[in-house]
Amino acid sequence: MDNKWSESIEKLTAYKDSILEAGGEARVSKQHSQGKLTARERMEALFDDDTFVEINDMVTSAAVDFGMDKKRKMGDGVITGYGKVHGRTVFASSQDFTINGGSLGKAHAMKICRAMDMAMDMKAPFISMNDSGGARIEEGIDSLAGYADIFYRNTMASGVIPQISVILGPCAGGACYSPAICDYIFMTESASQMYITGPQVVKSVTGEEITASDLGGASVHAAKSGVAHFVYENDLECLNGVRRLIGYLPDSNSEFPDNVPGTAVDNCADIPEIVPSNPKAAYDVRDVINSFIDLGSFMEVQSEFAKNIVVGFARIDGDTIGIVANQSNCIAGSLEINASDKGARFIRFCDCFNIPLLTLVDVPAFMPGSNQEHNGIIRHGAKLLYAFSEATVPKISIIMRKAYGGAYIAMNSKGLGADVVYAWPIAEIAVMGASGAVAIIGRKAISEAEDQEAKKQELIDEYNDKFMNPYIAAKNGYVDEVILPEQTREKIVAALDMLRFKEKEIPSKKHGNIPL
Amino acid sequence: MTDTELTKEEIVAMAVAAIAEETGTDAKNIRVKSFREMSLSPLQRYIQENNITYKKYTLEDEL
Repeated sequence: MDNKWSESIEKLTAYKDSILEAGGEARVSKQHSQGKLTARERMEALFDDDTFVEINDMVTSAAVDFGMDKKRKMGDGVITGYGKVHGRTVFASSQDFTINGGSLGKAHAMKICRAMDMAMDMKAPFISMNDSGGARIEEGIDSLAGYADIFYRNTMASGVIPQISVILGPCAGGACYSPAICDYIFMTESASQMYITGPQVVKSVTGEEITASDLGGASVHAAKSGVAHFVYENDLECLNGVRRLIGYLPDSNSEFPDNVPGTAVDNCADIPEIVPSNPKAAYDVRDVINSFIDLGSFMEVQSEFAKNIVVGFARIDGDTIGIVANQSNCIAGSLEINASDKGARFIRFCDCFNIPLLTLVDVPAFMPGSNQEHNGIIRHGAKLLYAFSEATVPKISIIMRKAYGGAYIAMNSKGLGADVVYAWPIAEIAVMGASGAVAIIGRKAISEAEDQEAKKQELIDEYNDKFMNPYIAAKNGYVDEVILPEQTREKIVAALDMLRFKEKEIPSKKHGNIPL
Repeated sequence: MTDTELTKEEIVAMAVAAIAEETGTDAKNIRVKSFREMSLSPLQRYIQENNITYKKYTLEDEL
């Protein structure tokens, strides 16, 4: 090897060592002391072992104002590249808080955009790991333009490739809108924060005093705002969660999810022991789900938000399905604003990415009250109807127990395009419950009766006998078959198999106008 | 070196035994051509230094 070779290799090695140093030992130690991994460690945890390939590792900011020329580091505070997750190609970016606080400038944004463009070209999922102080103020409006470039790409990629944001540190201001456009947001209990304006600005503008975690911590976004879809204790658990989610998803909208063999089921589960026949008695619908899916395959989405509806991914005979289920043990499974939003967004995701939908129905009504009406239950509830109607993936419904009124229609009824509708023998499919119905249609008869209570009970019994069963709906074709509970899995498997190559066209249009 | 740490020879012997078992080959017929110690990755080092119990999730974990 001549001198030029050895000098060149030495120079390259020095560059690479400098890149691997990140922001230096002290800053890496500080990152670790906060319970956070470094950007590079996160890449390693996300990808299959030894598969990560970095791109643009030497990209450096050209900014010079406010001392930036002395703070520049190769990589510009973000690592980008690709690797394998479960053997499939995935692209990712990981912001490095140890370099200029992970702030986003022109070069930093360009690197993320380059990785996103490659993900789109390769039709592969994109994962964004966020840990950043926000816009790099020293770079002025170029940093804002950088965000705009990312938001635009997030929007163009929406519905084409799965996009997942993992918030592993601060994510403030406009930076929140990239995760918000993505399909799923992961957060950690230990370090994640998301807010448009931080506690100091909140105090100066409104006078309200609030901590960063109370304003935008993981618990708040999981339970109150519904911004976070998954929350884990720390970085390692969180990135394992991302790996698990990717296992359910296809690479893009032109693919189907991989089959993951694992047909074991819970043979001890007995649906009549889980679901009481008394329509007013509560139960946990997740026990029903776990009774017929591949054992342990249910991954619930937004488990702490709008608990009256349960949504998530599962497998049946190894194939991914999306489940939407009324949760009887939370406000009797009534549909309200947040449940409608949660359900509609999940349905649309499944429809984008060729994931069949299974709907488990036990719903008494849309939630009544001025709070719901004044906050727009009409507008929000319509999203659920719209999403089910618009979805062209295989759609299967099982009416478990109550299915009343408009809420019955909204939960993937035959009229909204359900391909197959099953009902258990205890199902009650009606305009409303017996008491409410008799109060309206029997008002005159009750008021004229000598014994009003006896008359009311007589009419309730008559209504129950005539309407509160699945057989009228079956006779009229709104239910395809009334099935025994123990047939549930085999019927779903058969329906999914029949619908495997379903093709359904919707009228040509630029896009629909879902009531947002 | 502490009592619990393995020597290079012991590590190679264990690797040979594992390959023999996996492939059904007689260990005597396995020849080690080269041996190189791999340094820990940053993540492996962090996990080791902090005594963290961690297993990367794989699809096989579902089974």
